[in-house]
Amino acid sequence: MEKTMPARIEARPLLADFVTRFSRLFMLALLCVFMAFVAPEFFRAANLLNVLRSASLLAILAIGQTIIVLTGGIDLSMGTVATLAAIMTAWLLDRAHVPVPLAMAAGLAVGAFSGSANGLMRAYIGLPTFVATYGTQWMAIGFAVVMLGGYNIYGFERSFRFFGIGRVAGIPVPIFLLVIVWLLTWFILNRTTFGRRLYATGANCEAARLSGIDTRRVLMQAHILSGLYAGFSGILMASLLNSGEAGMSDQQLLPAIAAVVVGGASLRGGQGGIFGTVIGALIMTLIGNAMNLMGLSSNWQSVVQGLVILGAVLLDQWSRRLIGQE
Amino acid sequence: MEQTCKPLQKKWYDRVPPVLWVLGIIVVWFAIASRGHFFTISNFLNIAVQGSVLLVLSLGATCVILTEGIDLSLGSILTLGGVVAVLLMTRGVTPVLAMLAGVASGFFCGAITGLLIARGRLPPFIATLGMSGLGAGAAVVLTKASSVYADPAAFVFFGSGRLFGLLPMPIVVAALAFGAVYLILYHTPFGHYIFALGGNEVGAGLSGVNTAWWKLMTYFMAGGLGGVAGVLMAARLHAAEPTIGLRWEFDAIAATIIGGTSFEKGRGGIKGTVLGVLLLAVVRNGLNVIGIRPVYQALILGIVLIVAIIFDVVMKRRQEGL
Repeated sequence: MEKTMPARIEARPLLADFVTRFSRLFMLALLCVFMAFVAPEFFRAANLLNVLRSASLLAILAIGQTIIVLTGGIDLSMGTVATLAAIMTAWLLDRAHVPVPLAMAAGLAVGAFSGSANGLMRAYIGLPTFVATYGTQWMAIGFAVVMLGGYNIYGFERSFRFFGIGRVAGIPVPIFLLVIVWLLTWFILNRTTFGRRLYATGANCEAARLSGIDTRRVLMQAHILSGLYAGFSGILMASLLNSGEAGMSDQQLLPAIAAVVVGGASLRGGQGGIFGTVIGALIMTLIGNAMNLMGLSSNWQSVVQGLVILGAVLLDQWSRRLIGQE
Repeated sequence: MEQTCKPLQKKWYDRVPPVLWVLGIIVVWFAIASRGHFFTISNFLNIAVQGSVLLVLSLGATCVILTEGIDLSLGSILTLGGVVAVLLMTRGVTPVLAMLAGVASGFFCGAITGLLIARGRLPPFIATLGMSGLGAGAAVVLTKASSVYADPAAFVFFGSGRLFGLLPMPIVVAALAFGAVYLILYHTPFGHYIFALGGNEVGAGLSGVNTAWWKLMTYFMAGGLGGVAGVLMAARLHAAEPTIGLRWEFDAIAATIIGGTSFEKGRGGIKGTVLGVLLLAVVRNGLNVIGIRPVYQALILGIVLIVAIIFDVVMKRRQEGL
């Protein structure tokens, strides 16, 4: 009896892992089948590529959010930090005529800097992430509005717009960028010491600290990394919309958090991965597209999104209970 | 060793809530910078009226946070409460009944999140995030995404009338809500259970407290307060707008945290929340009064928020001698 115990304990998380992944893919498949019946034009290549392109921006933001959620925190500033990075890049391109690579680097730097501010307040001062990032959210909004000075910025040069609307071999560039970010993050989380430390810190900060991990540093690095992603997503948004305006990425925050949650990462930290998050971002974007195609008024959008969040998590819990976890 | 012993008697300045220091400094600064326009009774009444909706909402947020939960649906509940009340009034329902229905819609939403959290065992963050989508969506669908207006006398009085010709009604409502929550929190078993849920949920369960039921009740109460706040807001504007409550849940949570309630271990209370709400209301009002351009207001508000919270955390650590 005792000998079989370890095997069962090991087997359960594997099965649970499989089921949680499967339940997300299942939802995605269900959505696609539903669309096949209701709005066949959904499957036209042009529409699919469009959906994937908008999903890419959301997914990059959501991957950044996942990193913070894995550490057991939540980042409310990501949407406005993305906006600020976009406006910084737009401002440098339009007002200061800085070369494109430099302007984009500055946008990324804004993201990393905001992330480091969050990390500093969380790891070294000891504020709850919810509060620290809420303050950063306001500061980012404030800086963005001050930089714009009441005007919006329109029209960028072609080399910058390539990142948002360009195509390589007929496939929109943001999709490639998402794949690169995805692979890179997967590598960082699963194949580096930092990744292991991040999971350990998220699962049990005190235990991680006692086993010799500098948890403050890990948290700091995690926030800087996720700030970079927020900045990147914002820059892509500016390139896609061909403008820099206050509030352009702000509404992305809740869908990004929803994508993480629908993707199955545990808000208690230490559990989950970015595969689920990307699926979650796909589901959230698909729903919006599906409603458009079906001619449903956009008024219903947040009702449906709310139902999907609750449905996905209830489905997840139900499937876990079914296989005897929990 | 003896050096580590602390005197039992705390210095007076260690017993003052940290947020009061920040509030005091800000009030003095505004009083000087506004050349007398800020420090007047009519402006203080203004601040109190502006803060009253947020206070009603924040009372609910505080109770939920005391149980180590979080309620992200409060902003949507606020919107929905106002929408339900105003829509019913435009259909000819008596104002009082319509307002009660608005409050009831808040209780209803709170009951659903409570059920999802207590019975369905969903994490509060997710359940209330979902409800936030549902509530905001329902408000937009009901109003067809445009503002709805109503101005029956009773409704207008509720929002901008004065009790005995003296006290603005929003302040009266906020004070009544504060009194009710104060009684519940400190003088009923329900209140003890709220603190117990945050302090040690497992322990409370083992000592016979029906934790699931009281958790449900906490979200139910917070939802009801959200409904009251929504009706109050609509009454002040004589209108229900489908996106008026956007981000209000974050303001309510911020006011709670600035007021010294902690996300952990059921520490804090609603007295601090009043100070937190006051701080937010004073800063917003003061920046307008001294004529700061709107462009800079968000930035300054962010800085004040962060400074107030960091100050709170640092002072607490000092007061506890850590």
